Amino acid sequence: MAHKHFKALLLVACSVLALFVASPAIQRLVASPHAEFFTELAIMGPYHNATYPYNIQSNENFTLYFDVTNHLGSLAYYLIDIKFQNETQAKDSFVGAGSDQSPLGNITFCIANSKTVELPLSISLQYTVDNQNSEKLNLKNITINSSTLNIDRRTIIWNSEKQGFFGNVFFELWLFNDTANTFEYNQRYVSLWLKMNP
Amino acid sequence: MKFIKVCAMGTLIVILFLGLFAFSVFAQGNASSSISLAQNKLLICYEQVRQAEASGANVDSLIVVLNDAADLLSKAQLAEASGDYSLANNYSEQSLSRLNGLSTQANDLIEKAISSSNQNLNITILSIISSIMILLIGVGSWIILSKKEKKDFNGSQAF
Repeated sequence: MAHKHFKALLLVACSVLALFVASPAIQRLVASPHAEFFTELAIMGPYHNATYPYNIQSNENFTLYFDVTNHLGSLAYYLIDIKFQNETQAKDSFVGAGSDQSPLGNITFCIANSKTVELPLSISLQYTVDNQNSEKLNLKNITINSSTLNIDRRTIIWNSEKQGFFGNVFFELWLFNDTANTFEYNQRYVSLWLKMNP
Repeated sequence: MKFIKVCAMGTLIVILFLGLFAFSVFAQGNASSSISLAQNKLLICYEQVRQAEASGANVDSLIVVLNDAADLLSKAQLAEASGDYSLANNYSEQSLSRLNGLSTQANDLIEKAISSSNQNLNITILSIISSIMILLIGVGSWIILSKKEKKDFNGSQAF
């Protein structure tokens, strides 16, 4: 009877010890399943929260922050296109092909897997009310991170329903595709409507 | 005489304008090619850092350099879009110089990661062999003890 108990104990002890010794190999062989590969994109206001600028004046500078998190399983190379549109140009959504507006500028950056990057962006818009038509706002420039870009062919028409001139700055996320060797739209964008006070 | 003077003045102004135009075109072209160079270099470095990461190396410090270079490149592109070609050129050259040596660092990390991975593989193989041996010892002991138990039982019966 004592032999039987000792035998069982020895076998259990050997099995446990074998499992313990084999643990580095088991760790290598059993890979944790990764459910979904995606990228998070969020926009934050000047105080790093969801308080966004809305009522702005010409030449008023405001800072936005982009939080981008990489869940793609490896290092990724991103690009954020900065675009501007008025109410007539605005589409409901850019999921799919993205906007056909040409970008004013862009920000490029790399993020390691499971890491988040916060990118600051300072913007100001320069505009004046049209001399002959007070219901028309003529855009002149947009200043992004101290670089002034000319956008003087764009105008904004007075919205009588909402009582204001409205412009939309939006940001599209593009991801570098190693196989195609080009940036591809990642189906993610964030947008901010601004009431542009004369 | 006056006509010649006017003609000379006119020619001088035209030459001056052409010179300015040529300089502006040259500056623009210079900035564009510098930005393009920085973009290509950034892509090459990104691919190398990615390879280093895939081989299991810790690439955090390399990503910091990549992001510095990418930030300078973005600034260069914005400066080019705003027509400040000299600033664009300056930023893109800074971006290029920031990437200097990154390829070598990435390759070093790849080599280290490969050697570490080989070491890990050896440990894995060793752990598999050891665990098999432990299991065999366990099973062997079980068999020996069973035989001994049987022998003892038969002996006591014969007695």
